[in-house]
Parts: sequence; structure tokens; C-alpha cells
Amino acid sequence: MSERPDPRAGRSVLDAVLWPTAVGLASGVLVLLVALPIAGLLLTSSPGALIRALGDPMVGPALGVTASTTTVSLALIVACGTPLAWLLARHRTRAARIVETLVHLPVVLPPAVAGVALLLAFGRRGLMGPPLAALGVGLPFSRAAVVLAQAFVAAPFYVQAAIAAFRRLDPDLVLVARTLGASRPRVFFTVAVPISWPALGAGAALSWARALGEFGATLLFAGNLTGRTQTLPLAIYTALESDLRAAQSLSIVMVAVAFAVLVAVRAGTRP
Amino acid sequence: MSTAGLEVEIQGRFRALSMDLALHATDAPIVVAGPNGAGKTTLLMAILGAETPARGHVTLDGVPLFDRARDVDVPVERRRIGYLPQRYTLFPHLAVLDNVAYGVPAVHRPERRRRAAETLAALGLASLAARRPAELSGGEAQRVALARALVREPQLMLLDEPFGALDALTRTRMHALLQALCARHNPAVLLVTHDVDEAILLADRVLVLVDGAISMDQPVGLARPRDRGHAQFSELRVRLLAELGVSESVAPSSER
Repeated sequence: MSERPDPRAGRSVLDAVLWPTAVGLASGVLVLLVALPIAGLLLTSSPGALIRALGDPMVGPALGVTASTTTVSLALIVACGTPLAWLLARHRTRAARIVETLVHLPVVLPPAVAGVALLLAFGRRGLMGPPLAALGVGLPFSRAAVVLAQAFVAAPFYVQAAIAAFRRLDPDLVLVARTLGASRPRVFFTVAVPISWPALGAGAALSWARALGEFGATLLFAGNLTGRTQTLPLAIYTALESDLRAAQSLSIVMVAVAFAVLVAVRAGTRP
Repeated sequence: MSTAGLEVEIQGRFRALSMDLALHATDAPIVVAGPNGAGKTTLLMAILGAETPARGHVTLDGVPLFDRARDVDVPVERRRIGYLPQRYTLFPHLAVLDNVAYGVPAVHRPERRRRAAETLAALGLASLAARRPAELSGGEAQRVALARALVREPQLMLLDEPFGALDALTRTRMHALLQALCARHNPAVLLVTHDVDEAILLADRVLVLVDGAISMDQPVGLARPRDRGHAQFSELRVRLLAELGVSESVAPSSER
């Protein structure tokens, strides 16, 4: 092959052939890596098998546990995370930056580490064990433990989105609202939150999806008790040992949910 | 006609600032002109209460709004000072009517909206009531923002380069509107600009702020409507520019 530029095309072989091929190949590898497992999940099942598998006695309780725990953990994240994000967005002190980094930490923390950390904080022999025991509260292997594990790993997704949204808010808008007689809480509830609503909603959806998929920390801190702490991901893990088809059907349900969340988030954050 | 004496003497984060003004509510605003970094923003933020100065005091009409020594710091929302910045600050999620109603000091929503509608009608903006801020032109947005501030009957109205982003024609119309409104609602008006022509067009009095202090207090006695081509206008412009220019270029140096 000649390295001379082709006078008609005006482009070198590198430009015309090699580069597009390399980019195409690299892109194709990654797309296949994501698409093939999803295809495997969907194509090797049938509607009949899906419905049969969803009748499995494990599915109902797992759905119930998942729905209730993710709802509570999301409510906890939004109720506490929105004021925290407002605080962090409006203060650029050293302490605020440290807190922001700390809150973001669970994103890069391996879930197993999160599980161990939660046990060491709230377990019977953990940091908060004695005071909790004195109150008669035993957190590990309870449904509350599932909520804590989910909130721990999922909170950063919401808080980060909320901080970004609040930072985009024009400070003059907040100031003007106050000159119009609005107290700080009124500015927060009637100006900051409504204007940031689409971004907050998108953050909440992502956060909820992360809570939905929580596995490692839940397994270590809350266990895998059917009807009590067994969420959908744990049910998939359990089903895999006996019945691949049941695991597959549960997985398909979760793919559908995840896809719906993604579409909603993209629609919500489109400018 | 009300009189508002404004006294500001503060040490802010970046600079010290001192100013003692008798602000008479007139049909023409008092304009503060000054180069960048002269302390215009520090001044506005201190009067509004948006930033807490390290030292000093701010007094409006004899009432202390801020006094470090006596631990007085009236919150922004209780100062009765209107604020109109250059950037458009209508609440994007509220219709024009609800924007104006936001600041009406009344308990019930219907009453707030009724008074907001009245104000919009008085300004000839009634047709905009149902619109969203995104659907307004720049001039319309600033007119609504002005109405929103004035509906609270503020003691003092602060305008920070409010017409800087508007085209020349709209700006001229805004000048006329501002004068009409201030004559009606009667707040003392402090307008900050670095546009000397705008200062002379609008003001009965131009203050030049240099390095945190009023370096010149210039009454403007020209007849209205004012004409940029008028000899006295030009003369005033030259004098103000000199005051501003000197502050920018000449540093105090030892005489030979």
C-alpha cells in the first residue's frame, strides 16, 4: 500500500481509511460489550417463561421489600439531601468542600467496603452499637438496615445533582426574592427548589435507580432474609443458585425499570 | 415628600467605604458613577444587607440597618429596599402576575394577585400578566421587575446598571418610565452606572465614587428633556469624565 497522498481525494490513507476504521472498531467493541449481555438477557427468554418465573414465591416478597425500602431511602435522601445541597452550594468554605467530598465518597467506595463500614458503625459491636442497644434498637439484618445501606450508596447521586442545580441558580434571583420580603426558608421553597425542580427530579431518579440495584452493602449489613431484607438484586443472586430462568426474569424486570429511569432522566435534564 | 438620609461607613471584605447622603425622594434619581473597583457593588450589597461588613454601620432615615458595634443587622427582607440589577431576575417559573404578586405584603393570595394586577394595569403591562418571563423582551422584563419592586412601596430603590443590557431606544423609554414611576411611588432612588451620559440624563445629582468615597457631588440643573448635544450637557460630561479619568490614570506622586 502506498503512503502517497491520493490527489483525487486529497486525503492520506491514514485520514481516509485507518483512522475511521480504528475509531469504528473501538466504538464497536464497547457498544457490543454493553449490548450483548442485554441481548442475552432478553433474547433467551420468552413472554411465557417470564410470566411463569414471576410467579415464583420468592418474587412477591422481594418486590415488596424493594418497593418499600427504596421508597423510604429515597424520601430520606431527598428530605435531608436537598437542604444539605443548598448549604454546600451557597458556602464555598473549606469545611463545605470537605463535607462535599465526604458525601461523594460512597460513589467510589466498593459496596462490600460500604457494608463492612455500616456494620462497624451501626452493628452490635460497632461505634453506635451500645447506644442503639440501650434504646432497644437492633439495626443489622432488619429492614431499616436495607434502607441505611441504600441511602449510604445512593445519596451522593442526588446530592451531587442538587448541588450542581443550586449552583446554577443566579444569586441575584435569591437576593431579589429577599428584597421582596421573602425569608430564607421562603426563598428556598418558593424560588430555589421550584426553579431547580427538573434537575432535582433527575438526580432523584438516578439515586433511586442506584438504591434499587444495591447489592453488596445490603448483603453484608442487612443479610438475605426472604420477605425481610431480601431485595430484588439479592433475590436474583439467590435464584441463580437454583433456577437460572427465575434470575433471568427478575433481571429483565430490573432492566425495564432501569431503562425507564434513564429515559425519564434524559427527558428531565434536556435543556 | 419623604427624606431618607443614608449613611454608610463600613469596612468590607475588600475595601473600606464611607458615604453620608441626604436622599430626598425626588422625581429624579441620584446616580452613583464610578470606575470598576471603586466600591459600587460593595456599597449596594452593604445597603441591601446581602453581605455583612466586618466593621461599620449603615443607617437609613435615622434607623440603623447595620451596626457592628451595637450588634444590629436587619435582615434583607425587612429593610424595605427595592433592588433592580442589570441581569433579568424575574422568577422564571412564575407568570408575570405572580412575579409581581410575590412581593406584595398581604396575607392572602387573591389579595396579593389583585394588587399585582392593579400595578401592572397602571403601568400598561396588563396584557403581559399571563406570560412567562421567557416570553418577554428585555425591556418588558425590566419593566415588570421594576413594577415588582415598587409594589412593595420601598423607602429606597437601588438600581444597578438596570438598563445596561437594553438597546438605546428601549433604554430611553425606560428612563422616562423610571421617572414617572418614581414620581408616583416616591422612593428615594439610588442608581449605579458607569455610563456618564445616562447619569446626566437621569439625575438631579451625580455622585462620583472613587476608591470607596464620594469624590464629587455634582448637582445637575439642566432642563428636561435633556439633550446630549446641549453645551451644558457636554461641559458636565467633560467634568465628570475628568473626575473619573483622574482616578483611573494618575497615581499620587511626589512633585519635583
